[in-house]
Amino acid sequence: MVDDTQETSSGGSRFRITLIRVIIVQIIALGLLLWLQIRFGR
Amino acid sequence: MHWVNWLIVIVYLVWVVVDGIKKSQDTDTVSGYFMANKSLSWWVVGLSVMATQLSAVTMIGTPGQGATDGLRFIQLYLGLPLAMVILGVTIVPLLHGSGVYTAYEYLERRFDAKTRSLTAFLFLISRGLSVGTIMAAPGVVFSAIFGIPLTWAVAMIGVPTVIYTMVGGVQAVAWADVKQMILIVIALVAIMFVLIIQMPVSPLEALTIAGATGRLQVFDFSFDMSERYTFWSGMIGGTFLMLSYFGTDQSQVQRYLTARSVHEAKSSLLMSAYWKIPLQALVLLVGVGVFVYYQFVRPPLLYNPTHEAAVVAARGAEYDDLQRRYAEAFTLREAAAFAVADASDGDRQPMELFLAREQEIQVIRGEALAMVVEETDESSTDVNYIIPRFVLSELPIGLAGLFIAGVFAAAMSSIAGELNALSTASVIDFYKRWMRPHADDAHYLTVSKGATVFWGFFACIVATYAATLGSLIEVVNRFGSFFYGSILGVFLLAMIPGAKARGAFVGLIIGMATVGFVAFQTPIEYLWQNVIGAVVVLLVGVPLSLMERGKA
Repeated sequence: MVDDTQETSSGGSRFRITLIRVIIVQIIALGLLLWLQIRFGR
Repeated sequence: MHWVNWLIVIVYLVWVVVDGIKKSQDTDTVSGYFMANKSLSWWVVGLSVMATQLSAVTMIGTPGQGATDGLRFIQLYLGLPLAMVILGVTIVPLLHGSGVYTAYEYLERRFDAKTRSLTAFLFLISRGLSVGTIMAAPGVVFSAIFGIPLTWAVAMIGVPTVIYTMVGGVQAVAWADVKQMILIVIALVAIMFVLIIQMPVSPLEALTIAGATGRLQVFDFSFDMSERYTFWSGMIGGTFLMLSYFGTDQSQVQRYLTARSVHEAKSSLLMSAYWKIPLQALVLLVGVGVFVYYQFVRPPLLYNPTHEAAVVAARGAEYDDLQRRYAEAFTLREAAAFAVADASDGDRQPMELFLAREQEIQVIRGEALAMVVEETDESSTDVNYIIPRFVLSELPIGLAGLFIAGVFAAAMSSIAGELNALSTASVIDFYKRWMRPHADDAHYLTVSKGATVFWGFFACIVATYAATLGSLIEVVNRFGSFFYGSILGVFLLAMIPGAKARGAFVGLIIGMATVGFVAFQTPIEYLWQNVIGAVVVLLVGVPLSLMERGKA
């Protein structure tokens, strides 16, 4: 139960950090694809 | 295929089975067989999650789609990273911490037995069928390419997979997935490398040619629900699809239930959040690369050799004439492609000439494909044959074998995961729940192995009929979409305090009926059906639960 409580109390900030990391990586990946589309698209 | 390539494939198949059987230690209990005693590291689970999702369709159908349609299919996965993060803080802790074997078992604890049984039944039906189509994809292609009967091709994939899944349980499946995932990535990187080396133009010029035909068009920002892949259908519908697939589908839930802790289960999903889109981009770019390569090396007019043989046999002279026109058109297009590669920025004329030549080729291909339909009464789509034909005719000896082994690996990793999950749901949610609740572990273990063999056999039967269903990628996704959204809705309802069993059950029925109506009566594309299913379950389930509480 103690583990559960710790999980819950820090869950919010950990979620935000993970979300931010995932968003940054995706922005880079999708940005590259968008660059391909704009640079070489018709 | 050259004997060296065959040797690589056979060595791979034997190795997978032997290694899988070796991994069968500690699987003499139900917990060991289905959960690996919750002992696996995050990276093993993470690679297993990715390998389960990545099927042979991804290796042959998706690059084929890249070659014919470009990169826009990637929009399907736009919602995946967000879905993984959401699952990490919602369903993963809920299921991992509750000690259940199946996602549906949790629904009985939260609601009632009939909601559990219905969702488990829907899983068995949809996944039982889809595992057949997953097996059919490489089976049909290998049958045509190698000239062997379909049943042999299906058996080559199905028999080794059933053996190691049955003997080694989830542990064998997960460790085989790790090796298969590594093999798949090596094969994809190798084919990309060879394409770059063998291409007669530079990578930048290749991108210019691909871009000229619209194959680098990734994003479609229009909000059109009848358009299959758009930015919005991927972001919204794709998020719901991925939430449902990774959060409620036993084939994926079972992967992360084997993780050592909740934290490791979450980390395993984040591997997909980071790597799925780049990996999918690589797969599609391989297809785009093959398309550009075939601007300079003449590909077959028909990629499916069985269809080609049928047309030659029935209308040889007519087909010869078409081949002659095709050769002339190809020479003109090749010259136009070189002109595009050499053109300076802003010079539109070479590009317009190239597009006109490409159009001529497509007209001739259309005529050949029409002959296929007339002579065979089969679908003329040959997108799934582009990559295998390229691999066997253009890749060096050894590398072609590696790629074919990679296709086997992709097929087997997803089929093994599905069979393992089908067996788990059959035994835990039905046999143990309704028929023999108090037997010992040895009995359940025997039944579980029998269930794995049964589902393997069932999948092989379905695989021999699924061949005629058309584009295999969409077939697999469509099966799931009819139920996915509604089942997700039930799990979302489970997280709402005060939600009642009757609301969940009635909501599920009405959700599925609505999706069925939308699928058959409206032009709304399948990704949106996941959203509709989930939302309808909530719209029905919440008021019904509130009414019940009011009465109490």
